[in-house]
Amino acid sequence: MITNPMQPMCVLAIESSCDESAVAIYDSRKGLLAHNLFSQVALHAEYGGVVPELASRDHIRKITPLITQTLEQAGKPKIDGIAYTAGPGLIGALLSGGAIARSLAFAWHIPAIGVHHMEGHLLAPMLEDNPPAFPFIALLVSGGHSMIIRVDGIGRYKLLGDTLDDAAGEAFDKTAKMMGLGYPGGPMVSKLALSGDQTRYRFPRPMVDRPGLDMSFSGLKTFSLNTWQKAQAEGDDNDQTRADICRAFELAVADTLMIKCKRALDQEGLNRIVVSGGVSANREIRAKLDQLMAKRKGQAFYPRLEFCTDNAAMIAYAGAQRLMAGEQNDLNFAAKARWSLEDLSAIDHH
Amino acid sequence: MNVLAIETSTANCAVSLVGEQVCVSLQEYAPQQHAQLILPMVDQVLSQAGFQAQDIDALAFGEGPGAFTGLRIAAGVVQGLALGWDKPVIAVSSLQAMAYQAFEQTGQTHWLACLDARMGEVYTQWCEFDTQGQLLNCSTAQLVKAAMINPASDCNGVGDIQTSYPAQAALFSRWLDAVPNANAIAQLARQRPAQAYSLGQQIPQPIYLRPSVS
Repeated sequence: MITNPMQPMCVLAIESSCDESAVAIYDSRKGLLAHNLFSQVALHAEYGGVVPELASRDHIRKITPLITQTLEQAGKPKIDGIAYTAGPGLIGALLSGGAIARSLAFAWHIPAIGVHHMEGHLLAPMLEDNPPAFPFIALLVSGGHSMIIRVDGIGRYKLLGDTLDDAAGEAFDKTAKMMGLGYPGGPMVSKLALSGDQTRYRFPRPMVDRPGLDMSFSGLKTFSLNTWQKAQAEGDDNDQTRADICRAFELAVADTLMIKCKRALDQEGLNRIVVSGGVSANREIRAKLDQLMAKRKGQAFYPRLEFCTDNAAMIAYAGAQRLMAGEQNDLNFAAKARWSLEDLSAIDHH
Repeated sequence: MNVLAIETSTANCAVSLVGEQVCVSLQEYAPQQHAQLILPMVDQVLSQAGFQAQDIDALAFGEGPGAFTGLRIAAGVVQGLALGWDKPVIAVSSLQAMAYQAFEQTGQTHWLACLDARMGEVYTQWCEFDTQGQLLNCSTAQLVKAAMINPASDCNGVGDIQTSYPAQAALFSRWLDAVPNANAIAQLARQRPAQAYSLGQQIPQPIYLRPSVS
C-alpha cells in the first residue's frame, strides 16, 4: 500500500454526497478516461427537496453498477488509487459511497483518499484545456454553498466570504417553489428569466453597501415572495409576472456576486477567478463575471457545464493530486457532515 | 466452503471467517463506529486466519432488518470486496442469525427473533432448525407493533427487546438476550451455497422493512 510520491496515477472516484451517484476515472497522464452519473432528482421531486434516507438507499443500489460500467467504458485500465467524497454532505449518502470505495481499495491493495467535496468543485476547471494558474479567487455557488475563497495552491484555501443565511442556489430554488415552478426550480428560474422584462421590478442587492465579502440571499427570496404575493392580490399572477420576477431576482443575484467578486479580486490583488457549483451554470451570472474580467483584463474560468454540478470527475482529479503527493487514508471511512476547506492540508507538487 | 461474513445491523460490529478448517470471529459493541472499525476487523480476521483473498469462496452479510446506516455499511463493504476480489455474495437475515445463535446456545430448535426497531415497533422472524442447526423453515421478516407480539405459551424468544419492551420479552417461555453476530451469518451462509450470487446477478442490498419516507 505504498505509493511513490509524484508518480503518475490512474484514479477511480466515487461521489455520493447528496442526490447524485457518480463515478469517474482520471489518469494523470491521459486526463479523464470516463465518467458517469445517476441523478436522483426525479426521486426527490415529489417531496420538494432531498430526502436523506431516500438518497442513501439509492446510492447503495446505483454506485457499484456505475463503477462496473465506468471501468468498462475506460477500457478496464489498471487503477492505482481510489478517491471518494468524504464530506461535507449527507452522512448516510457519504457513507454509502465511502464503504464501497474504501473496501474496493482494500481488496485491490491500493491507496484510498477521502476528498473534500468543495475542493472537488474548486479544482473542477483544472480538467479543462486551459486551466487557471494559482493563485486565484474562487466563487463556489450551489444549492448548499455560496463562498468566496482565495486559492494559492492545492489545499491552500482561505475563506474570504460566505453566505450568512441561504445559499444562492437555495434562494433560486425557493423563489421557484413559491411561484409553483417545481423542484429543483433554480434552472427553471434561469430559463424563465430569459423572457422576463428587466425593467418591471427592481430587487435589492443585499449587503453590497457593507464592507467585507459575506453575502446574504434570504432577503432576496423574501423579496420574491412579497412581489409574487402582491401580484397575486392584484390578479396579476401570470406567466409573464413569473418571468419578470425571475429576471429581477436573477439580476440581483448576479450583480451581488459580481460586486463581491470584484471586491475580493481588488482586496487580494488578483485577476483570475474560478466559478463553480450548480449556480455557475446561470447565463446572467457568467455574463456579468465575464464583463467584469474583460474590463479588468483578467480571466474567468468555468468547468464545463456538466462539471458545474456534482460529479465524480472533480473528485477523481482532486483525489489524484493528493494521492500522487503520497497522501492516503487508513481503513477508516467515516464521513464528515461538516468539514472546513481551511482544515485541508496543503500539497506542494504544483 | 470458506465464508467471510460481516454483520453491522445493530451496534454490534462483527466480522467472521468460517470454513472447514477455520473459524475466526471478531466483534465489538461500537455504536456509530462501524465505518471506523469494520475494515480493520476484516483485515485482522484474515491475518489471524492466515488467509488471502483467494482462499475465500464467498462473502456473506447481515442484510437486516436493523439500523439503516449499519445495513448500508455491510452492503457497501461486501459490494466493494466482491467487486475487488470477484467473489459471490450470500445475503442472510440478521434475525435468522439471532435465532441460530439461540439454537447454538441451547440446542432448542424453534425461535422467534425480535429486534428493537424503535418507535414502538419490533422486527420479527420465526425460525425452525433441525437438531444439526440446519434452517428448516422460517417466516418472512416483518415489522410489527411491540404490543402485537403475542407468542404461544411454549414459544422461545431471542433478541434485544428485553430493555425496551420487558413485558413482551416476559411473554416467552424462554427469553435469550442477543444481537446478531457474524459467525451466525457465516454459518447460515454455508448452508445455502446455491444462494451465492455474483454482482452481475444481484447487487447486495439491505432489507429495510420501513419506508424511507413516512
